[in-house]
Amino acid sequence: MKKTIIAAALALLFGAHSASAFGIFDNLNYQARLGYNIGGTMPMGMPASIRGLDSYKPRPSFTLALDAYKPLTEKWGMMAGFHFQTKAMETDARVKSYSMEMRQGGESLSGLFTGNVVTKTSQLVVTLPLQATFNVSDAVRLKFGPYFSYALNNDFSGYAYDGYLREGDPTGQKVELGHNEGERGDYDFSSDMRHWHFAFDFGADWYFSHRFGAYADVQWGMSGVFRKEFKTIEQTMYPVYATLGVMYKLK
Amino acid sequence: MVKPFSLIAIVAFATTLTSCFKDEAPNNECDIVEARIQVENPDEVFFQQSNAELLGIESTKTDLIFPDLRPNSDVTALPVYFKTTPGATVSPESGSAQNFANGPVTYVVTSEDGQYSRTYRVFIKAEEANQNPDQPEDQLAYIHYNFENYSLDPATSKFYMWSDYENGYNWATGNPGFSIARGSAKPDQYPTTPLAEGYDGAAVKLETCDTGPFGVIVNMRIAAGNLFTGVFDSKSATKEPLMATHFGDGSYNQINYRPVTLSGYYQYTPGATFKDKNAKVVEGRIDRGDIYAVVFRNVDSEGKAFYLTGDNVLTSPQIVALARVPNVVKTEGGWKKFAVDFNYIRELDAAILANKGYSMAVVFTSSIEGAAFEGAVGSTLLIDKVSIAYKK
Repeated sequence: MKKTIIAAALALLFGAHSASAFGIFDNLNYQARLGYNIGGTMPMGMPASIRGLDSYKPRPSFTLALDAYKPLTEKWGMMAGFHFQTKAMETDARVKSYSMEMRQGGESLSGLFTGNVVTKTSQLVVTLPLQATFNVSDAVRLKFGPYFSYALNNDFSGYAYDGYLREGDPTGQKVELGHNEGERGDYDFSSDMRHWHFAFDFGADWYFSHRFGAYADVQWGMSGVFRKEFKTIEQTMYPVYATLGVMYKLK
Repeated sequence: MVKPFSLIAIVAFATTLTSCFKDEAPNNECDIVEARIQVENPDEVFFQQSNAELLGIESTKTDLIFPDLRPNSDVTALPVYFKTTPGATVSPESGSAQNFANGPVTYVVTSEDGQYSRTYRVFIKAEEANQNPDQPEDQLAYIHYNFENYSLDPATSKFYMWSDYENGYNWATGNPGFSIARGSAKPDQYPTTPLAEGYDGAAVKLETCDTGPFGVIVNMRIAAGNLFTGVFDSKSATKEPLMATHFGDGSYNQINYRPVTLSGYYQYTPGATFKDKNAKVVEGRIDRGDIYAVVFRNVDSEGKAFYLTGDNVLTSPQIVALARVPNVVKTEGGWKKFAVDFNYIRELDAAILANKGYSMAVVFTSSIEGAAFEGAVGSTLLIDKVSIAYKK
């Protein structure tokens, strides 16, 4: 049963045609992985409107993965799989004249905010990686390749507090936001997030026994987390996460 | 075994982030936040020292109107000093002597980054000497408020404002606060709107409105329609709403006469369901309106300009007199006249009065507990032809 699922998945990934050409189902081995993810959703290069980071909290994020490895030569091989991942974090940033929009029901209040902004992001994604691998030694394997992810669940929300909003532009009405719930400005951009993501993944596997190993990966998002039409956050926000975990060779 | 690794990763990650913060960009705001007239002989020029400065200027206000100077003061070469948002520049220069005798002087404030600018008008004039020389001391004179002069707010055209003066506004409403919560509302969907067919010409219609989903978040679910002489400072509207209503604030509301009677015409219809602050229906309670005028000392013990706010408009020790319509409940058969005398808690000090050391706030609201965000949506108070009878 398990094998059928994996085979079906790989067939989907590579296409039936190339699969038969490669004879790809021969000589496969499988690894199950359990990892802890840490990282953030952030702009590449901070805009000047972000003045500092008062706190960064990784929120519990895990990877559960199944990979299939196929050696092509003695050193080179390929790896593909199914990864279920949560990617979550919380930040509290100091901002100056930072583009903001608070929405509630059909109403919105937008402008430039100076003060503190708490951002909570989380995504539940299914990732289909395809990686080239290189065996440095019997125990260590390097991996690099692209992947597509589909987000089953998106959250990008938070609140602006202890500061003021200039409605529209810097000459607009000034609206102060306080510290406590009810005085601050809540926002939720979850529905503006895209579902499909393209990214690169690079990392290394290290077997410390015949079956058990540890691994480390970096997943570097190439597509922003928001849809193109979404303009409130001016800079593109990329998810960049690292995973540290353990793996077990099934076959 | 994961833990120590993630700790290292956090530190590494945070360090990476911190290292790439850019230098702070130049400021893009261009507000005058304070203005001050500097003269060598302030006692001869100003009725009160606090009249020399305008503090805490609201973010949307661009007409800065100083209280009138003493009669015959020279306004042809007055230096006005400005405090702006950081980095902004003023032209003509802050502190340069300007001639205010021919009307307002225009100042352009440009933001530090040069991207934004705003044009301010500063009004300074000397009071005309002997305004009513023939008026006998004991005879009543009247100030009339007819509410014919209204227009959309100049900055956004979202809501109506009222003024009895050509420049600036002596009346304020909570409409700017409502615009924060209900940005999509049309001007006639605001709590305070003009009513074309009033008792005589246009009247004002005050209606308690639902503030929508934003109002729920900040637990300010209703906005009572209100109209008062003073200033509404919307920057406090969400954070400290009681501080947003500056009753009797502004140079137009200083008085040098003794108010005797507040009178006018009104109609009142309470809304169907009275709710408390948490939107819980209060069975059996019927909403009421409120109509009153307060006279208060407009300088505090430290010599600073003083105005009443939502938390103390009826209780401040600065208050010297109050005229309040006792029971604003449902009216039948059209307009109803009201007339109430000012009840003086303390007698006015003649010397202070002569120097315009008192101000008056005239206040109307469609829900008496509106400041506490309690009332019935739909409660409507119509107001027209208000007058203040006074003696010199």
